Amino acid sequence: MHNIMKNIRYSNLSFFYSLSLFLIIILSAFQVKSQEDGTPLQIDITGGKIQPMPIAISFFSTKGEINENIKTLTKEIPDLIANNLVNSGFFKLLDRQAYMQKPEALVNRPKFRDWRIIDAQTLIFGIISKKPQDKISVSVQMWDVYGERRMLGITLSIKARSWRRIAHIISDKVYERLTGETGYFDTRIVYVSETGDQKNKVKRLAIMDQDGANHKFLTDGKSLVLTPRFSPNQQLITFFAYRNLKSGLKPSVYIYELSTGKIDILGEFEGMSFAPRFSPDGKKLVMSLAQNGSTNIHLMDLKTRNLKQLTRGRSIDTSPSFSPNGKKIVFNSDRSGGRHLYIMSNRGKDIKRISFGRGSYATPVWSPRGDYIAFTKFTRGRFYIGLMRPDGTAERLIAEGYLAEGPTWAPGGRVLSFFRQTPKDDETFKTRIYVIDITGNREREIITPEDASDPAWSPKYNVRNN
Amino acid sequence: MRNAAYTSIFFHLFIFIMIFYNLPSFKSNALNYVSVEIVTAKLEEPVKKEIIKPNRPEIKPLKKKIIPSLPVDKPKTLAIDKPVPLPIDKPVIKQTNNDVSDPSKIVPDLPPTKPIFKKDVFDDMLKNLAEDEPDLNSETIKELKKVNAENVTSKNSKASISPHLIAMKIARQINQNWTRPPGLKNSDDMAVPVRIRLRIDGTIINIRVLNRSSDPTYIVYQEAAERALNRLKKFDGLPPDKYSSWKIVELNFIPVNP
Amino acid sequence: MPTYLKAFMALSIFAYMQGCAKEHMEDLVLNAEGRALSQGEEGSSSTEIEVEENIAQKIEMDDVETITQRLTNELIEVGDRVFFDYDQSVIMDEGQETLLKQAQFLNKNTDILVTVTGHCDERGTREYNLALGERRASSVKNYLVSLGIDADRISIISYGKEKPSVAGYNDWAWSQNRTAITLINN
Repeated sequence: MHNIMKNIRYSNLSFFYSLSLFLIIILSAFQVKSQEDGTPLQIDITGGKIQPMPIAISFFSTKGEINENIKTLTKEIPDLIANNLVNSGFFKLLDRQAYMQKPEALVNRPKFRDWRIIDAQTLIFGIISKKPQDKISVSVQMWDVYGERRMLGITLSIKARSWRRIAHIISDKVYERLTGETGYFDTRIVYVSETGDQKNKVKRLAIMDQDGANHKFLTDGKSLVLTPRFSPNQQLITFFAYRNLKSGLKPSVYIYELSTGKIDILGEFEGMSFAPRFSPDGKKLVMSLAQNGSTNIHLMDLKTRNLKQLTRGRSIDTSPSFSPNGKKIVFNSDRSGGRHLYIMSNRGKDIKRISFGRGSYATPVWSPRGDYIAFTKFTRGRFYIGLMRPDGTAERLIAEGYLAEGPTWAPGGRVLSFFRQTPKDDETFKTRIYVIDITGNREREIITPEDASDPAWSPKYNVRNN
Repeated sequence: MRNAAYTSIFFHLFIFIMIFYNLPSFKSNALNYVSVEIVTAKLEEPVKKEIIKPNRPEIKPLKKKIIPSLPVDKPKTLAIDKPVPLPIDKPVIKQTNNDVSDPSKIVPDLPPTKPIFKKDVFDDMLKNLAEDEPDLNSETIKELKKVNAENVTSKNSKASISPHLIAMKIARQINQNWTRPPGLKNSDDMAVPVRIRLRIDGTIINIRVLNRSSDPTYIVYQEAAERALNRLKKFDGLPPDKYSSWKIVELNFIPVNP
Repeated sequence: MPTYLKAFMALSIFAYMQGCAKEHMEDLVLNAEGRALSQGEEGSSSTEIEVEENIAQKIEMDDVETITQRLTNELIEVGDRVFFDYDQSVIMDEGQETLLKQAQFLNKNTDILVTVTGHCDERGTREYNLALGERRASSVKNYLVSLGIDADRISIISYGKEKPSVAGYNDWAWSQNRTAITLINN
């Protein structure tokens, strides 16, 4: 007892006071480092709150000549930006009815006090003006309300009918400025649109904006198409299809050119080629070849069409996916009996198992920022979408369903998409594409005209500066 | 001897309560650990271990994750609107000072620590648990307020305030204003050192970020730190007689993400 | 094969051919009448010839189809498919019996080629199931080859979980969809 008393630094305090102080110190999440006279008080702040940032996105105002269309856009563009940002999970849109400054008043420097009252941390507003040739110009400014300074100012112009693209690009800029992450709003998703009954489905390739707008079919449905994937320059889509079987072709991997609509078979092989994916530099394609009961991973040089076998043996090795630096490949194999995930070098060396949990693991996809591998897991009769670190640690399941599979990453690696099949009655299903963030907290369905599966998120489009 | 017996009872109660109330919290992934340098060395080992080595489960329970929309907003605004009073004001000191050997006075101080712990430090984690856990909070908060009210009545303004208490007051007020978005990358290495200068009434008159970087994520954290201070503007309850000790404060904003 | 079965089959084939022939006869009449009506006179010889040519072609094609159909029916009777356990490609006892009969059938009809299609239930990912379906089809092919069938007569194709035989999501539906089906090429 006396020893303890002696050891306590603040001897002017009673023992019990020290104890309760100790308790309180633990509980209030900070740490005092130095107490010597002369040096300033040093405090570690480790608490705070993790929560979506409250932002104000005012309706836009106009400049110069206006028409009915532009007037609508003053609401539609900010609405779409708000929708994007809120969907990301980082932001909370403050109710516009509480805004004290009208859009017209914001053309000058905002009155920050008015915005602090509603606790807006960031304020976004813009001005739309009409330009020749059916074009519009949109200037957007973003203000730090508490710091009272401008954080962003950009002007973009585009054909008026493509206004959604402008809203997406602005969303990306705002998102990147406020989170430090890569934006993913100005992107598209290619997927397989499904019609018909379960036994005889018609499957067509289709493409849409990441929010489901601008939907378009790419193939006619005469042949069954599966597992489309984007090339890094977004110009090509590789997929697996049952085409022209009558003329003796095997089901195999094809490449679709978006600008021309041209479809090319990648090559005719001994076995069935499937599960294609581009390398990060877009010069190679990694895929599976199945022959005589075993499936191995092969790498094809797209220029020379030379094929290199990466894995060997009697097992099923499939669903290969490159690491963002192109040096490693993660894949799915049953070489140990169960279905698990493995990593190897891009030459097929140093094969190492990374999944060890219960159940079957499949369709691993390396995140574009390299920190996670997303996968499909089947265990106890249910499907899950999960994440793990590339070394196999920190496994986490973020979505589940009767059937859920095929994760695909949005640029930036913070959001992913997958598809889920949900039973409707004894024989029919609803199949839809969903988007979820890596925390697993925000899941939403993308509205598609028909059933939808096998989503593939496009890389980021380049925005031309002029 | 009697003192030793009380100490022993106190310690055991303390450990028991810590385990009983706080261990379930550690089961969640969202955990800020708190390093305690000051007096831990004098305490029994097991307690320390339980605090600084939380057992982080690798796999999040899926049940929570698939709920499409989190009830993010409600608890938050609650926390902002009605900051939970902390029993760290002078009355606490007074009370415990009064009668050291009377355990009946000491024990009641302990239960309120639970809601404080959760509210302040593990706010986001609490939201995660919200679906599973019965809502104890409203009750415990009430209880806490009661305790505080009692404390106010026995207020003694002459009690001295230690530098630690000053630091605590500062930290608490900053924590109530410091927000940042969830799930940013590289959050581990993003501590933001800031030096602030204060007027005697507690107003922040100068904010200087001591480390600049062009890393976009660092900038986000730096701005979050600056925003917290800009939003707070003025500290309350700092003792003017100790002004020299808190005129300049060096803060280190360490984002600990779940 | 028991004699009565042979007799029955011969009979049914005969009956079937008769049926087809009759159909074509009716066709002919109809066509002739149709043309006659449109031309407003009793059919001229040129049109008649044309009609006859058409019919001749048609009968020939139908003949081929009929034979395939007959053989397909026969194969179904023999047992056109084998079933597998979950995530397995091992041919079980029951399947071995079926394949033995399939081999006999193929030995009897030496001029036909077959395709074995491999299928999986939907409780696997699309890509893994494509591989597993290939493995099941290969397994059947290899078994047939081991029974003396020429490997060149058998091609394989995997449908993974794309073309289930049975809709639904219960143990029975799944067991029906874990299969490899032998089909006669046209």
